[in-house]
Amino acid sequence: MWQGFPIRPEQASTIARGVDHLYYFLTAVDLFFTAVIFLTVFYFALRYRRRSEKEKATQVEGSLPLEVLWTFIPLVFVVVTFLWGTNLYIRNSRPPEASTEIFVIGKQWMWKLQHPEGPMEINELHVPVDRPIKLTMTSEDVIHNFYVPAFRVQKDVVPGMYTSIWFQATVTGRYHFFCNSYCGTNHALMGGYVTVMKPGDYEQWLSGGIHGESMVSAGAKVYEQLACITCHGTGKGPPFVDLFGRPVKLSDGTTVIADEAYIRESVLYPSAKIVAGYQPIMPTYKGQVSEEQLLQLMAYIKSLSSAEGKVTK
Amino acid sequence: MGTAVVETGIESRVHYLNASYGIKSWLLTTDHKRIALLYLASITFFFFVGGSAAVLMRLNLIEPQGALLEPATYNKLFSMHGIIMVFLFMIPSIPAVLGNFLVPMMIGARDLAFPKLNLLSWYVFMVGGLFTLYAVIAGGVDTGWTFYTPLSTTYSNTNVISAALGVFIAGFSSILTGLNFIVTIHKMRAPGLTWFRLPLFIWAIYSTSVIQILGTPVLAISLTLVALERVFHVGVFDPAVGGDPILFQHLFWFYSHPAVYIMILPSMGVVSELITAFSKKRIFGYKFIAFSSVAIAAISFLVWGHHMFVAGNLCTRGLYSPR
Repeated sequence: MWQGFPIRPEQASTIARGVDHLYYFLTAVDLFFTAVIFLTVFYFALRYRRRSEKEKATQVEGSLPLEVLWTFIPLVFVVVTFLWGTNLYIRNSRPPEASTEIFVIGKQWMWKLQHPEGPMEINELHVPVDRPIKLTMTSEDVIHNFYVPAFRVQKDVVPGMYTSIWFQATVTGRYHFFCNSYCGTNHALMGGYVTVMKPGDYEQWLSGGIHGESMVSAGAKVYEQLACITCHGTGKGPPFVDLFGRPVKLSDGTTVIADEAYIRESVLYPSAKIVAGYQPIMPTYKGQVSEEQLLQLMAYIKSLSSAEGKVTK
Repeated sequence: MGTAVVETGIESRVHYLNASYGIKSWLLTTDHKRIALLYLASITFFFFVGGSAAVLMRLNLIEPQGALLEPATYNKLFSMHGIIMVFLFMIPSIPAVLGNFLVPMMIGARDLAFPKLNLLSWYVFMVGGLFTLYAVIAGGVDTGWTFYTPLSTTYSNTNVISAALGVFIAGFSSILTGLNFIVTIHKMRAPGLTWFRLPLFIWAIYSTSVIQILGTPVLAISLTLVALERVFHVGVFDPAVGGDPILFQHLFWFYSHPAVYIMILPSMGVVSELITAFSKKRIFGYKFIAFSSVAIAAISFLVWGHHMFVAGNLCTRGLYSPR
C-alpha cells in the first residue's frame, strides 16, 4: 500500500536501521510535545476565558518549581538524543579493519569511482553485498558531497583533503546517489547509481569488460614517471617500504603517523614536514600530479607496507 | 498633501505623521518612528523582490525537468532569494521596524540615543541593498546565500563581489542599529524603570542587538576574505592556492547561526507582548523569559558546528585515524 508513497528510502545498509530508529525517536518526541503544547493552549483558552465583561484576570506571576521542571524534562530528552546521536555518529565514522577501499573523486559535475583492482567508473558504483566498503574521497574543484540515501551515509568531498565514509550494503539492488552539497550550475544533475551485487556476480563484473591495470601497478608507474625512485629508491630520500600507517620521526623532533593526509602533503608541499635525517631537497609536485595519480601513488605506497606494525587507534 | 478636514479634537494633535510633509521631511528625518516606517517600506520592497524569485522557482518546479528556467538561472534565483530574504528582509525586519518604533516609547525616551546615526543606518542599509540589486541586474550570483568556498572564490563566474559587498555594507547598518539600541536601553530609561520592569520585547531586542554587534563583524571579515581571494588570489580558502575551504564554513556559521536568533528572538519578544496584552495578564515567569533571551544570545555563539556535521572529518579527527 505504501509502494507509491514511501515515507523513507529503502534500508539497504547495516547502519540504516540505527539511523532510522533515532529519527523515529526524534519525530515521536516532536509529536508528543507539539500535542501537549497545543492541547494545553486550547484547553487553557477555553477554561480561563473571560465569562463576563466585569470579570478581572487573576494575576499569576510564576513558579520556580514549574520552571525548573519544564527546563529539566527537555534537558533529559536533549541529553538522551545527544548521547544516542554521538554514539551512532562515531560508530558510523569508523570503518571496520577489513573494509575494501574504493576511491572517489568529485568534479564539476561528475563522479569518478576507482576500484583498487583497476576498473574506473563514472557515475556508477558496483559493490558486493554484505562486505564493508570504505570510500576515500577528494575533489578536484569545489566542495561536493557523496550521499547514498538508502545507506544513510553522506560526507562532504573536499578539495585539498581526503574524507571517508563506509557502508556495508545488506540488500542487492540499485540505489541512487547524489551530490548533496551545492556545487554550481549542474549540481542537480550530479549523481548516479550504486549497484549492490552478490559476491559471485561482483567477481564476475570485476574480471569482465575492458579496464586498466590495478591501482597498485598504476601507482608503481607513476612512481617511475615522476622520478620518485631517483631519491626515494636510493637513500637520498626516506624509503617507502613499511612507511604507511607507521610513526615517522620529523626533523623538528615531533612524530607523525604516515596516513593519507601526510603523504598527500609530502607530495604537494614537501617542505611542510621534513623526515629526521634527510635534507629538505624535494621539489613540490603540486600541479604536476593529478588527484588520480596521487591516489594511485597512495595505493602503491600502501602495498609496500606489511600489516603488522601499523598504528591504529 | 491638501489641508486635512479636522473633524475631532483628537486628530488635531501634532504627531510624527503630520508634523511636516514632503519627501525631504522623510529622507532627512531623525525621528525614530519615521525611520521605522522608512525601514518598513524598504524591507517590504525587498520582500517582494526576494519573493518574486521564489515564485519563479516554484513555477519552474511545476514540471520535474523544469518548466521555464535554465539550471544556471534557477541557481541564481535561489541564491538571490536567500541573500535578499536573509540579509535585506529577515534580519532588519523586527529590529529595525518595530525596534525603532517601539524601543524609545517602551522605555520612556524621546528618541534613540543617536538619532542621526539611526538615519545613517537606514542609508547604509539602502546602499547595501542597492549593491545587491545591482548584482541581480548585472547578471546575478549563483553561490547560494552561503557563499561556500572555493565555489565563491574561484569557480563561480557570476557577480559574487557585488553581492558580497552588498551584504557587507548592509551589515554595518545592522551593527549601527544594534549599537543604538544597546546605548538607548542602558542610558535612556525613564526614572524608576529598572531592568526587571522593562517590557520583554526590550529584553528580546537587547539580546538581538548583542548578536548584531558581536556577530556581524565576523561575517564582514569572511566576505572580505572571499573578495580578497577572488580578486587577488590570496590563499585563504581555496586549497589550489594554499587555503582551507572548511575554514570559511567556521567563519560563516559563527555569524550565520547566531543570525538565526536575530530572526527569532525579536519575534519571541513580540509574542510575549501580544499574548499578555490580549489576555490582560502579566507574563508567567518574567525573569526566566528575560534571562533566557540573554542566554539564547550568548549560547548562540557556541553552536555553529552543527552546520558542519558532514563537512570533512570534523568530529572524528583524533577519534580514529584512517587506515
